[in-house]
Amino acid sequence: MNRLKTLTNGLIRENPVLVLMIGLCPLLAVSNNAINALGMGIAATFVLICSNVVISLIRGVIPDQIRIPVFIVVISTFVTIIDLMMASYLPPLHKSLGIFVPLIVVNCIILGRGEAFAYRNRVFDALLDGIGMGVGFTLVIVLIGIIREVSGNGTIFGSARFIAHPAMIMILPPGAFITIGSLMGILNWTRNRQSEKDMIKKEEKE
Amino acid sequence: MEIIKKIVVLTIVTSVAAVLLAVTYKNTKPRIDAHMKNELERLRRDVLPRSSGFEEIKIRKEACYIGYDDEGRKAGLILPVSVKGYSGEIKMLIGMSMKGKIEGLYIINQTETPGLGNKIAAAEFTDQFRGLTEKEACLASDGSDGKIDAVTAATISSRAVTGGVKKGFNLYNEYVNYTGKRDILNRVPDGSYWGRGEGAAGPVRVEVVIESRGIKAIKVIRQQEAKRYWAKVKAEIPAKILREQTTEVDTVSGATLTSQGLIDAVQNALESAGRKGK
Amino acid sequence: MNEISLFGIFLSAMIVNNIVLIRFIGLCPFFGVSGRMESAIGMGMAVIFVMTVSSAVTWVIYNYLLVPMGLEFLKIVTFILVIASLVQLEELFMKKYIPNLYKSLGIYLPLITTNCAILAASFLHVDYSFSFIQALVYAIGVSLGFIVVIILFAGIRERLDTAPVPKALAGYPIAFFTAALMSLAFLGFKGLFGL
Repeated sequence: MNRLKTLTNGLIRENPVLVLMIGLCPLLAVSNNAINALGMGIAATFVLICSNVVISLIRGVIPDQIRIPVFIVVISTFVTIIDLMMASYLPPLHKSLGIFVPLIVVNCIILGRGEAFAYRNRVFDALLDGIGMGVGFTLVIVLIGIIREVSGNGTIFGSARFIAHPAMIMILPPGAFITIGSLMGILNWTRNRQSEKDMIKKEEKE
Repeated sequence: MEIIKKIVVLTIVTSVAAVLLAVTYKNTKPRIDAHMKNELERLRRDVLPRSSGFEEIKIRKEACYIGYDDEGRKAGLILPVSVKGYSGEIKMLIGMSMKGKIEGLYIINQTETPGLGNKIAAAEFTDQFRGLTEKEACLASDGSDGKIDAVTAATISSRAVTGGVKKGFNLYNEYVNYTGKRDILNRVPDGSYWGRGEGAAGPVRVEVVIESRGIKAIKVIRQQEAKRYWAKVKAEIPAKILREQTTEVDTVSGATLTSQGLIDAVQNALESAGRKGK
Repeated sequence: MNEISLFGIFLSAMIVNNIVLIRFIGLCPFFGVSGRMESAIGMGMAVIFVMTVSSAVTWVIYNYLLVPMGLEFLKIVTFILVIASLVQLEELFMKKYIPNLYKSLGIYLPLITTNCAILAASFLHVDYSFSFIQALVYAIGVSLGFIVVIILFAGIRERLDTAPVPKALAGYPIAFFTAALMSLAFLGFKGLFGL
């Protein structure tokens, strides 16, 4: 039961992007189409899972004061690996993600989860946390990617154009801010409504 | 003691990381290189469809390629060009036939506005260039000969591309006028070769003897030029070619067509020799 | 890229390709510390200092250490470690020799390690294969661009605090919409210098 919670925590309740507000740069920068977004999501998830597991494995032998440099080395190693792998197996994607692949290093989600979770928990839990947070990140970035691609370019996952005159602003930088602002607004709105309902129920009971 | 432990741990972690990376790098590098090579090959074939083999040459210090068709004849040139676009550099590859017509155009890299300027990279725009000459490869709005329709609402980006194509033609002209003629000697094996050119009154046939990458002798086999022109041409042109070791020589004034006929005949001999050399 | 003037590099880094609003780099501190004007200025100052120094150092390391040894693939690991330790060194240096500056900027320095703008500036000068001077000018331009937008943004957000915003949009959502409008304004500079 507890483990299930560890796994699902990152999906919604503690979603790294929408709730914790970290990892914004790649989220906005590479989400102008769904394919890029999916690629970035998978790359970040891979790094997150691997670094979580490794950090949890070696946490016993690392002196406390040098843990951050060690985390950084671990994370940047995995980032380089995914960077090289992507360049050799998926070169077009590698090209369109560009500088944002190496910048996964400073994606606060990864260092943050290492420090806050993996460094204090057992390997299996760290793995689950990595999967949960990674999938949470991927879901949001792909969602934003789909919204922006459909509304801004009239296509989905690079398909044929089905909207004749899309709103181009959505694939330009402002569109990214608009999309995530709206998503958060909707999230807040449903939450507010939920808590209002709860309040009303409470009052009725009293 | 504490500090030593820290140093040891940090050293071990970084060494492990370095080894891991070196291994990954070693394993992925051939693939990345191969991929880049394939990609380049594919692009070259894309812009110069009739060619199957390529040879690198330098034109104005740019690394260009000569494409050869299946029979070893020159199919055209591949010219890399980069120009300033609306919001950044535009890099493109131009395939040019030896007759100076565009065979294909491919935008390798651009950072134009998504949805507007970046349409210059789409086939709808680049395919327009196919088969055009230097005069025709301009925007229709920029000149009466222009045959290119600019991308709607992205005239600056479109004009940047035609500007790049213009640069490509400059490289082509440079090659035709200079590099091409000189370059050919390097590929000709020793021997004697026949060639023909078109003079003022009919064909001029010559035999050219090549020895260790140099033109050793020029024998005229047949010509039917007017005598008064031919005498002057015969006295000056072969001597000049032998001295300067190139067909890039001035014609005799007052006998331009006859001179050109002889020069072309020698050039033609070199070209056919160069083909055999391949 | 080498034919572009230093001034062009500077303006394009600062405004046309603004690192925050156009390139989407350094967003976390942009939203994180822009709530109050004072902290926005502090963060901005710390960024210009660290970014210039670290761009210079990473340039030297990349061109005189990694490239000659054929170790370009280690650049991610090297750059982040160099930047992290540089930040520490700069903190110690400031504490000792410029205590006044340290007092005002000190708390922002540790945050900078995870500011992707610093790392991005280093990767970008490698990508563009800038010369040393160009890389320095670029770093200064990028960091000034960061300061300009973070100060503008902080000014707007301070006023937003007292504005009647729909409940669901209060806080971050309205901040994102504000950023969208600013980004739209900066898009207007596109095509100005052609970098």
